[in-house]
Amino acid sequence: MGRYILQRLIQAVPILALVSLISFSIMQLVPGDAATLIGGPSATPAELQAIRENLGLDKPFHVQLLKFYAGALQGDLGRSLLLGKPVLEATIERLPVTISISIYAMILTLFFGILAGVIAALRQNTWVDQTVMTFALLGVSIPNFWLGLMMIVLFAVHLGWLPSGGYIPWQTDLWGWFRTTTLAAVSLAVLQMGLLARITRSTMLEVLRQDYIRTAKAKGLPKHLIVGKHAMANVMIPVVTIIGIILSVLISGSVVIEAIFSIPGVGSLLGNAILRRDYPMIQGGLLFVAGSLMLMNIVVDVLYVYLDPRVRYDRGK
Amino acid sequence: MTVAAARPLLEVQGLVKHFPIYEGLMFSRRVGAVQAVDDVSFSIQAGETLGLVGESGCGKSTTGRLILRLIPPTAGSIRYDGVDLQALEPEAMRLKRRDLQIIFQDPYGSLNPRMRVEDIITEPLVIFGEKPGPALTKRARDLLETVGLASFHAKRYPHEFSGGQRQRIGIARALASHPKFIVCDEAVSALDVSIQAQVVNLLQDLQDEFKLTYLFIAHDLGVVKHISDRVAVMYLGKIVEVADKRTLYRQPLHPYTQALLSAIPVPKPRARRARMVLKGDVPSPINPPTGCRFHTRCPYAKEVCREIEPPRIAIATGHEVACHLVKAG
Repeated sequence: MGRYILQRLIQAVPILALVSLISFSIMQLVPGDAATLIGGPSATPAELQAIRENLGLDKPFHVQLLKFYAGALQGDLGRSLLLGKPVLEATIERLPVTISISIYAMILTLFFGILAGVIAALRQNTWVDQTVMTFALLGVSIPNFWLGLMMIVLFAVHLGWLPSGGYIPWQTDLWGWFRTTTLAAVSLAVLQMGLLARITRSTMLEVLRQDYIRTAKAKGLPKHLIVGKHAMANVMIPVVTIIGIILSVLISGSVVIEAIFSIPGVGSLLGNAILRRDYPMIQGGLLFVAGSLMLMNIVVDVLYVYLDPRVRYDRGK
Repeated sequence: MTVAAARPLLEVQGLVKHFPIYEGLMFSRRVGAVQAVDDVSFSIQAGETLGLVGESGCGKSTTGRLILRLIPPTAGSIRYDGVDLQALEPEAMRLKRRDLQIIFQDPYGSLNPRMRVEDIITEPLVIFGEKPGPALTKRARDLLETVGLASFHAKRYPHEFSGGQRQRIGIARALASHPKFIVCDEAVSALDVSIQAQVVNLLQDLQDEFKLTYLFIAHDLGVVKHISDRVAVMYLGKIVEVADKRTLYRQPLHPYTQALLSAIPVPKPRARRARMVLKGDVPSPINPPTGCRFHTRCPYAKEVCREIEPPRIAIATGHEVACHLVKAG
């Protein structure tokens, strides 16, 4: 198993290099320039040139790229043009915000998504099933930014139950964190919930038709054990695959959602960097996000071994 | 012999199973029914093996599952040891499953891939109140050895075994709760011929050892002849002939039984014998033929066979046939 993880980590390096090559190239092709943004409208051409030289923006493309790689290998992702501090530091500073909201959204997704899917499957073709699946379809169809805005209108503006935005760290005030992050987490989670509910339902229906479920019934198992033990254990296998996908969608969704709820997380950091052409920040931030997603997918693949005894990574050759 | 001892262990009366067929995407309505099992009655004495044979789709497996209430019957009664299983509450039925077990046909699908063999085997014991622990683990290992596997197999998962080994796991699992009655639903059909013989012998040894009663469902008459005491022949959801093994194989009376028996390969290439080859396919159980269900393929069919369904009558003690051409006495 250790060898497998090491293998996967080594494989991740060229992929990450490719990710930054692509983002680097796109950035070069886009018109507009960080120097004009930093210098402001009153800056003279000489001043702009000085800023460019200072930041290395005047160097050829491949020099900039190689310099970036060299830095990245040493754990230096460059220095943000606008914030004036290292990209890695700026990202790590905001990481707890995004991670805590993502975990919150993930818990909501898993709990309600799987619950809804299982209930719908057990009550297949009844009004319960149809109601749950209608909501699931609605969840999948509603864009999360629109849902976020509508929830602000309802819960913050009209009802005044929750604040419309901002962020209170859980370390200082757990209840405050809960109040400020709930709307964001819900708008992130709803789409995934719908997706997960639909997948859980169809997987559960398939598993319940399996012969070993009939065996469990013949053994004399009570229904809650047949569903909760024999069926769920097998339902979880495809569900874990989906969780890997959900994680990546949560991260990309956080760019928009953090902007809507004015949450100072990695998502809004990246969003602002893109709007203001903070190249090093975009570069470094993207690399960081891509790296953490790959890491999480490795974790998911390792989880398979524990979920499905038929999966073995080390043996078999 | 007392009266109670003469009572059959299992008594099936007028068992019917119709699977409804629905049509229409938006507003489905019932358009018919597959008459999988239609008015089936038989009984099995304690310690006896009843073979149930017939072509694919004739309702054998459905009958087996109905007996164990794995699917609900449309009509009929199943009495086990004097108790009407149909009338039991779900919880009481669940507890009865300790005595009534089944070995499934498909050794690949019927074992949960997420469970270790020892958990598969001991689970029925745990849910019936035995404490998990070393004693139970030992039981699982003993059972594995009883069915011809090694005790070190206990920690493995089903996918690590071959089909024959899995079938043995299925048998060990069925035996775990010390059942009195086991439905062997095509228990050896999925196995190689050499393994089939081993498993059939194993089932017979276990029957002697644990005083088991079997309903042995199969389409292979050779295997059934080996293991059964009595044999029931099924055609399109109905039992057409029941007799003790010797009588049935020596003197089959129903034309369908005769055709089935003449299809058994004989290991004598020069032996001359009259083969009775049936023409056509089995009619659809959705719309079975009127009168005798076999009349469409029966070489001796008469007018009466098309119109009136023949009742099952006793020709001799324990030999019952449902055919207009066979007269009592």
